[in-house]
Amino acid sequence: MRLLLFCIAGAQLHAHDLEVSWRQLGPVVVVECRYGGTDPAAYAAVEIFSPTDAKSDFQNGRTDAQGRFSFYPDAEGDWKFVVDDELGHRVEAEIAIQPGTAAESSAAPSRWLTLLAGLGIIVGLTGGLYGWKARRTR
Amino acid sequence: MHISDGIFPAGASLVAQAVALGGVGWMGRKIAAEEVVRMGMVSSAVFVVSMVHFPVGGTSIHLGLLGLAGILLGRRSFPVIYATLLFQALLAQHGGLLALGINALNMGAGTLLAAAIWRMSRIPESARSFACGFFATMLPASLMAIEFWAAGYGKGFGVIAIAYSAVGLIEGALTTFIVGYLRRVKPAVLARIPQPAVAVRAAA
Repeated sequence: MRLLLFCIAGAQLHAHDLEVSWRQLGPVVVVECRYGGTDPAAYAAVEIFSPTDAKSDFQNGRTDAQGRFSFYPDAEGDWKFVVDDELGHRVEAEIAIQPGTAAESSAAPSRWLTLLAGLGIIVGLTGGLYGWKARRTR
Repeated sequence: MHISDGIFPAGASLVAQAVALGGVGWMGRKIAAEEVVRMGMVSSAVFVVSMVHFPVGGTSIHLGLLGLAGILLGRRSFPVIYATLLFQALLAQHGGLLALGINALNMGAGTLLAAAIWRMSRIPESARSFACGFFATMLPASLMAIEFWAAGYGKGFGVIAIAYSAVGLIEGALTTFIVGYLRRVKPAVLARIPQPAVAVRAAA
């Protein structure tokens, strides 16, 4: 079945800092895989599963030199794909494809925000633990 | 070096998690207040430096400062690495939550090796610093390669060895520079902090 329009919903997913984002170009879905949102995950293994068959892959292959791959969904529903660079970086993601308007994945959270949040938590925990330890020693 | 979830079986990951938590409990006993500040600083440095990536041959590598963590913290580096990896997994999806135990054991082994090398006082300090940075990177990389081989996963030992040898050399040079700088401006940071039990005996 050929779908004329797809609506792709879902948040951007990332694992081991291997981030994937996608957008629809006509009936084709284009996925970009990047480390930390910047460096392309080139030639990573890709497996795509259709909503109707979660066991046998609908398509497989590798990302290109720019960390991209594309596929042509032939059914509505949740399409799953797995990207694995075979060096420990792996991400699984699902794209909900429905008839409707074109869409793309939401933007990833700012890297600086993540960095600041992490530092804030570490500094806060360090201060709390230090205060607790210092009070116990007194 | 931060392995994602879904690569190793859940059972193996859970066993590794239990062993890692045991290590955290054992090596995190009786922490002195003075140690907490140093642990927090090292954790912050490791967290920040791990977020900076470099593209290498289609993959991405980053520094870890594992050698420096071993030098500055000794056995306390293990709980610090565990906690830092937990924050990285939760905030940046850098490494899997289920694989946290495996990652902590791999990298914690690197920091403990660095701590052991640092104690070899017969070796000149600059050579020791370099060895700490280099081997604290190469040991976790080797463990990861062995684990990948055991799981029948990945591109093989050669690719990992090439990628992480470059990281190891950079880590070695960076650790040597930082230790040299600390030796000049604040050598007390490089000394071990007395443990609570030792401090009580000394006071008595």
